[in-house]
Amino acid sequence: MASAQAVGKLYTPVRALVEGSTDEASATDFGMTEKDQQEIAEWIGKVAKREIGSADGFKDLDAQLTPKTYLVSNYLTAADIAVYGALHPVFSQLQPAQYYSHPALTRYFDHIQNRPSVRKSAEALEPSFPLVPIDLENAPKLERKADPPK
Amino acid sequence: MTGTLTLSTKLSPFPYAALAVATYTTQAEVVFDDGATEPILDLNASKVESEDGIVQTLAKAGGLADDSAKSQAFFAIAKKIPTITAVPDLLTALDSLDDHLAFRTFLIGHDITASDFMLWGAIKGSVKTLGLLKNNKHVHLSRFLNHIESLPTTQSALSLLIAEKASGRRSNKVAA
Repeated sequence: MASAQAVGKLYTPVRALVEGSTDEASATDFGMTEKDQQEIAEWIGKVAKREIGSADGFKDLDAQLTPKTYLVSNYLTAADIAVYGALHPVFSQLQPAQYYSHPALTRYFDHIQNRPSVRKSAEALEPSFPLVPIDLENAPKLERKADPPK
Repeated sequence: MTGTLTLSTKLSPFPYAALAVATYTTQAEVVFDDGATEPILDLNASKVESEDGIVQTLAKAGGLADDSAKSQAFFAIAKKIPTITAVPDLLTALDSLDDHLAFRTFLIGHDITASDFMLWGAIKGSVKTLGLLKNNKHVHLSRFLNHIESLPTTQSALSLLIAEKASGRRSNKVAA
């Protein structure tokens, strides 16, 4: 399927990370429907073209992830692992104040990095994808704008 | 499946969490009986008759992660939400959950737990809370609720309930 083939275009070590944490025989890793498979292939294509991972794109990605738990549909796919791999070099350098300003992206990154399949693959690729400590306990409360008076 | 969860469609608020956790964990078959005055779980020859007890028992039987100290706090919040009548108080509770879920996929740890189902179910059964969420001021809490609701097992649980309600209406009509 196109989504599994797209992995071949990825760069090292993201390709190895995705290959190590997915299984082509899995019913979900590469998409349960044709639509999902298409979307996964598109995300992996973006990662392959290095369109994901620069801090400039964080705002857009944060907005896209705000209503979503995973990138494609509502389950973990190869797209999430590729995007996590692309984000890792930047995310591992961020100070808390920087990641606190992108809550959805931070929540997403921390969730994907803690998936057991991702940890297993990351540990085999040491030292490329160490767990990035995210300080959740000291996260600020969100700014809430009061409703304009009616 | 080892257990049986007996629910009445007439329960108010409806125990959505018990229904969803039963299908998620596949630990109990759902049976509808409109004579039941509370949800009843029959599992391994013992009976549990409170929704939070049922959710905890099924989550444990299904091998979900558990952090008892933290889950107690979230169970308390979930049970309190339907009882809050003042809108500002309810908004304060929703703000706090939205802050918590802004940086977390699930309430506790990195995996789904009983607390997630309890909170989703409490809000699902509270028309007032659902109304406030429509103002779109709690995008992180809404993301979380949509995720729990969109799980295939939650969807099939809700379909069971809808089908049961539909069949009940038909038989009422026949009786009248």
